[in-house]
Amino acid sequence: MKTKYRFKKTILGAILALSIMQVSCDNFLTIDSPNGVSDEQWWNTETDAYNAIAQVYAGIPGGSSGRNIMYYSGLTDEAVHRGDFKGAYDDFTRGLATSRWGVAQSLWADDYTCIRRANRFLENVDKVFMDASLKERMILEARALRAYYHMELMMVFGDIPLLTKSLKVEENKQPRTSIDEVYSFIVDELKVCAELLPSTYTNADRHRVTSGTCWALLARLGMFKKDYELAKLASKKIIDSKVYKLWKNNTNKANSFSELFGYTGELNDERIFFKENGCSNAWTSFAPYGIGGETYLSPTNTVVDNFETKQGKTIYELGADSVAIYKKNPNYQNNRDPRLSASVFVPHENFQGKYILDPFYNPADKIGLTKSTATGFWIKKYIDPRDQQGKTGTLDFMIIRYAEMLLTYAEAMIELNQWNDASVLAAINDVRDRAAMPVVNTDVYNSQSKMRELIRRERQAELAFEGGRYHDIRRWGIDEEVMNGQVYGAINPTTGEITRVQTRKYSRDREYLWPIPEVELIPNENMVQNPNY
Amino acid sequence: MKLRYIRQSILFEEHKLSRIKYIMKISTVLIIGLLTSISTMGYTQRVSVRLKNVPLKTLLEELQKQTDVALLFTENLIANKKVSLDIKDIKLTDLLNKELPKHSLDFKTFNGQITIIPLNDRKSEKVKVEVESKSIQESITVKGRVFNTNEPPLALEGVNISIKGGNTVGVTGSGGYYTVVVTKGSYLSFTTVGHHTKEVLVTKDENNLTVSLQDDVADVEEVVVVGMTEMQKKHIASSVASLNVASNIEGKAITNLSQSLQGGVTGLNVQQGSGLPGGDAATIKIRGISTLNNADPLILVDGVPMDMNHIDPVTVESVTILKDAAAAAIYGARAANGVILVTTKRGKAGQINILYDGYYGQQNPTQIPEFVDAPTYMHMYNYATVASGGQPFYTEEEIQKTSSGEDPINFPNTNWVDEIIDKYSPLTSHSLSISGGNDVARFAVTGNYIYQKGMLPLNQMDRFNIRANTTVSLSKKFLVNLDVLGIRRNTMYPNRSLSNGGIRMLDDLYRLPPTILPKYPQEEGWPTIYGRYADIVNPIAYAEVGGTLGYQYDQATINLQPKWSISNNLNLRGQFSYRLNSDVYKQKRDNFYFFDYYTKQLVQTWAVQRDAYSETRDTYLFMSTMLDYNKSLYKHNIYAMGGFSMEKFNNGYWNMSALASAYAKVNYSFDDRYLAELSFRADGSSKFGPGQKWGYFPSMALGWNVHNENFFNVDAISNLKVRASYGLLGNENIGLYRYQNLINTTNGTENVWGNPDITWEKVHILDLGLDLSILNNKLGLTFDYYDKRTKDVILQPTVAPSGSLGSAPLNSGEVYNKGFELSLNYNQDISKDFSFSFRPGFTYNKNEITNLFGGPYLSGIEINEVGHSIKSYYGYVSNGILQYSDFEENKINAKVPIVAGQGPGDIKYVDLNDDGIIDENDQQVIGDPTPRINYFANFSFNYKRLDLEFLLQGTGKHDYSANLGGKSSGYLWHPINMSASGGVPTTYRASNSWRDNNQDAIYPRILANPATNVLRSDFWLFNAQYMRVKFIQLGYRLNNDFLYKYGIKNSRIYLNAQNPLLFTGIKQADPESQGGSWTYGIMRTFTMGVTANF
Repeated sequence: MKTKYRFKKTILGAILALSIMQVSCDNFLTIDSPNGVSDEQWWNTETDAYNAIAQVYAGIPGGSSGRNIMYYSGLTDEAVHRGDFKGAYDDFTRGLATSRWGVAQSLWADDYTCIRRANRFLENVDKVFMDASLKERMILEARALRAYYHMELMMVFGDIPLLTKSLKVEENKQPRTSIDEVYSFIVDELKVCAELLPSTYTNADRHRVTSGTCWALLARLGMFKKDYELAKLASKKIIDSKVYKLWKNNTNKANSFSELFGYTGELNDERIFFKENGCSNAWTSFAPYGIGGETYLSPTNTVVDNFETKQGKTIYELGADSVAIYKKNPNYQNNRDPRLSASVFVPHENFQGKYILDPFYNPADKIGLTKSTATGFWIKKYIDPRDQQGKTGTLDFMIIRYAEMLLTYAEAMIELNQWNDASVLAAINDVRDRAAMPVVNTDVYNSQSKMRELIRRERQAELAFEGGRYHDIRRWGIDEEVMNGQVYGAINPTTGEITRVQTRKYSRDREYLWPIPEVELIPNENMVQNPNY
Repeated sequence: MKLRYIRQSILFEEHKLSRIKYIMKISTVLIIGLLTSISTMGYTQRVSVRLKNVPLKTLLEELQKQTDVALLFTENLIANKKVSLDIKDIKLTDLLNKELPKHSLDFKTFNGQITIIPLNDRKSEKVKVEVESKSIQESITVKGRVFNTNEPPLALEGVNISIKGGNTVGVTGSGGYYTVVVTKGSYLSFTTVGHHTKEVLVTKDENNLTVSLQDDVADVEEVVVVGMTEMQKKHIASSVASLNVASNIEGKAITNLSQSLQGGVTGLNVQQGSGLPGGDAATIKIRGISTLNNADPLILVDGVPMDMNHIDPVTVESVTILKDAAAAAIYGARAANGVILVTTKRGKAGQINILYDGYYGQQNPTQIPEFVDAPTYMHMYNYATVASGGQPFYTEEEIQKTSSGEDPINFPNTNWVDEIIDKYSPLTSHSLSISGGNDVARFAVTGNYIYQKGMLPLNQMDRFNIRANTTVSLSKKFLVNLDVLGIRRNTMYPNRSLSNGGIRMLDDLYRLPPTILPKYPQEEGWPTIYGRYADIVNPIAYAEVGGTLGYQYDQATINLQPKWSISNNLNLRGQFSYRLNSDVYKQKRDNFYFFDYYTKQLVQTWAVQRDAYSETRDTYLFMSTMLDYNKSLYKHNIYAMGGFSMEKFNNGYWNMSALASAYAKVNYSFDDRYLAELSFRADGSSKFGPGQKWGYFPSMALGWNVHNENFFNVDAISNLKVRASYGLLGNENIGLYRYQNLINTTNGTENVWGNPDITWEKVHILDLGLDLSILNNKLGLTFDYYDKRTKDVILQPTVAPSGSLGSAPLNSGEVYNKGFELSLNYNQDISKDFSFSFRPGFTYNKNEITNLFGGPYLSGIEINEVGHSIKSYYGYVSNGILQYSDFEENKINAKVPIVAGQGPGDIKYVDLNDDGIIDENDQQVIGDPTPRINYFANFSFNYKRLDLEFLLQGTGKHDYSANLGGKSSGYLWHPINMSASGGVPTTYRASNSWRDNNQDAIYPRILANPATNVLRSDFWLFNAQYMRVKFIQLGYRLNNDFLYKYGIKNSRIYLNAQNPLLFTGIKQADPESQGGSWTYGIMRTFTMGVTANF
């Protein structure tokens, strides 16, 4: 009897436990993420808006850190890329880039990530309680950045999806918008922002998009689209604004250009658009192996030979003997454009007065050694000896600087056949003067085609390795010519042999546009691949 | 009146030796019993029998029915014996006297029982008794109790106590009490039918010498741990397998329990991916893979989910694998990938037993890469760069100087493998267990220390493990298990990246040319200058000044299990378990400056590193109550249980998940012939959103013991069971908060992409099985066929990156997985001294994706595509190597389709779509990494005190991909790849590479830019079929009499070799651990050990 009673009690207890459990289960089984919130909860304060827009800025490219604009040199005749650090740039130059090419894939993903962030910022910022004018400025910044990211994509992929709102899951199969439509969207947006954004900021806001940034981007766009009127208008706006000026060392003019890329000239007024800490690991990326770098990009002889002599003549103007001398010893008697020694380490150069760079016989710097130069030359821009010990630093990367705008203005004018306007020579000579180079010899450069030759050489000399040449050779139509065949490096002064680096293969039909990434093509049936990929 | 049949099987192989002895003992005792017993009324009962040509057993069973005497016999004694009888009204004893001698049998009566014995035993025993009785020594009195080993222990009455091999000196009375007077130094032998005999040495007066006797049961009567309970094998209708713990764990140099599961149970694919001390756990898949997500089985240690690799193998009592839905459904939502139940050893009532188990050994890598020397490397480097359009790097003069060794500082020729790898590294383990107890409390305390040195500098692992399992009987009805476990595991590595059981220091060996000097001569005023490659890739520098990475894993577990026996049939059980894991990490390095030897320039700075943080801090809480009911009524046998449980996992700081469950199970058997199991579980999980939290998992199994049918009359078959089961299981292993859409609290960016409708993956399993024992139980066979269909597989559909939306999980995929398993168990006693057993197993499994939303999913070389196996390989199809004959005279224009830039000596790809060019459209599924066939065979031989055992284990064809993206892992097959980070050819790769003077080589030419040869293709897939001798063990049991004097009751010494032999076609990698240049392969381990009982 007793057992039976107990049994009943147990059953009752179990039923009771069951009902208690059922009641408490819903609570027990509801565990939401402890550190996530939703849009409805989040957009409240000025700080929120600042933090959100910081994420839109996060995608702007660096030179050697983050997404690396300087590595684009490896896609041109300026430099050779080696190693698997930062992506397979070298595959592109051998005609081996496919829809799985990592460089295209990360650009695509990074830019669209930031485009979405910009769109979300624009869609949600209204909920934030903050100063109305500040909010208005931030909205313009977000619009300008959204245009910039579209511009980056459009310039290499051609037609791209134009996204002006954050897509919902079911909308995420966007077709490509024609390049013209994308172009006019970007131009319109940037023009609005250029008119309304402030021309300068102070302190921590210095990196933000200014009116000048927008004009500079418009100038680049104009050049890309061969809309020289736009390029002229935009670059002229910058020149006329007087906000920017070239960095100069007034006591030693010859040092001006090299200081621009070091800590001395870091806080200059030449910067129009820059990435904070964007060259923080320039040392690791470019410096010679013998002093602790891991040379991923090595300049070719083309970029070295392009520099004029101090007298303002190309080496080819000097006759065969001189060419031979300068090829063997590029900075012979220190008689080359100071921008050579500011941009490139050449063989037998003395680093900091204590170390001779010898790519031919020094076991630490030999050509072909892993992480050593592939050509016998090294990039010197953004290599500041202060970074040697720590290998990382805080150098900013100048995405667009004033000198480029001066040259863009001149080039637009030349292409508009206004090459003999005084402002053209003034702009070019401004740039040359800062580099301690003589003014342009107008006896020689006295036609549109001669001026075109000059401006293209000048652009390469001034902007080497800053990433712009990739777009320059494409718009000048010389890509197929300079991107095929054998690549050479330095000449061994002892043997007189020229360094053979690699052979390249490039076809304008294919490589002019980058492949749409496979990761986009598979889930998006509305996406069409570029030709010949 | 109780009916008792004790069927004894000699088949129970691990006790084989003791069994023979036992049978002799039992006879001894019973004879003595006969001599001294008083005739009981029962024996004179009269019987009538009419039988024709039936097994002797049938006769005995018939007699049993007609009398109230317990008839005891061993199965093997009466096997294969037939009788024909037609007798009426005869005295039982007369009938036996008449009939048994015909079969060389005899019987004896004792305590109302009749035991059938062999005919000759009587005489031989008599002689022995006389001899023994001659010795005269000091007398001592021993008192105590005898129990069985059940929990709680039951006192055994009627246990015969004798001097070993001699006179009976007493019998236990009610409550199991006994008092005997014996001479000092005697071995007391405790014997009773149905239990193993136990011998105890007595050297002094004892007031409470508790002894427990272990049940001795036939294979089918064996009790097996199944989901949440224990059952006799004969009542099980689902697919359950037990690991032979004695064979797979004891004495083996296994550092992680998971390794022990390899070979021994069918349906398991166990792969040890690494031998890295501290990172050498094996991955276990039960019945293949049937989900695209986590396919790891649920592992429960004493009822609680736990990482089995932290368990000290010495403490393991049993390991059971629940394979089909019926067996596993009681674990519902987490059982889809199968369940492994580990139970740990508990104390038995009896004398305090001290067991030492220890071994010492050396580990030796199964694969050591052999690289080319410096001059060969320099030649190949020049060849590779020139072939890629560059120029020679090394001059002939430099190569000559390196070759001659005249200037070893400037032209070194370093063998990095010799510099770094320790070809023999020690491994040692010591366990000490103390166990014992009485009817009030039992305990088993085991402490273990294991130390393992790695083959790389600074790499080692040590682990302390202490487990105290105690049981207290608070009353006859109330019992509490309280188990405490504490583990501390320290691992240390050189300060170089770790990844997936591998370490970058090994990768460095594949990367670091022999032309680099480890260390330059010390110079006054300079720190040590190390040879430098890339960013100081120098393992010697890492070993000496690189510092260490250290991990400390701690775990403490409390497991409290009260049990209240409400009545004989009804128990209420509870379980409360709490576990705390705390893993901490420490990185330590002092700063160091690297200078270039030649220029004395600072080239690299290693900053001081003092990084320490908590890796994880997990807690786990488990509570359950369960009611079980057990009743045998006439021929009906029913077992029913039901319960609730709740679990809460805290992961890290505030990440949590909870599971609430209710479950019930009914087992029914009729007359041991028809079996049915029904189980049901409802699980509620916090991982799913509102409305989706609950999942319901029913299952059913039916079994039929055909051999118990009257019509079944095949003597050769002693057990024949057919089984069928079907059920539904779930997989909730999907990560947390997947039903929520969330944004980052700091910057508002979207970071969690959820699907509010996300729910369980559901697995339907059909299992058809057969168990068979023939040849007098010498041969056992188990066969299972299964069919697993997984629905609602959780997928992460790829989303177009242009929208920059994250991928939210979706229940959409379907996977079909089927296979069969066959295991055999053969035991043979050749003679009294020699026996052997042979236990092979064979498993076949194949999976196929049948539905895949948004597919195919391609990730690197792996593809998930409808119609193919999970994670198939995808890429180009190759057809050997391009030769000069494939090109025009100019060597550039090809006659066959090529990839741009290819030349003679590169891989020839097949133009699958015949469009004349090789491009991305010429790819297809090219391989399957999962072996369809797994097999093993255990061989065991016993000769007197010697035992020899070895295990063969292997897999059928499957593909091993060594070309993991052509990057770092690709050094193995793509050395000197200057598009990546270089790399040194192995001698094998070097000698088999295409060159002008080696045009029929197996592998393509070595290029500094091998871009077209690193494409993912079947060229770099290798058939990883293999067979290996998993272990060989030779043991010897030491002479008891000699060691007894030193207090050692019994001991065994053994020599063991793990992974001693391997048969495979794979080059440059272990087919089991596979991997690439980072992988720390499986070790070959030779150990010497001893097990001793004090």
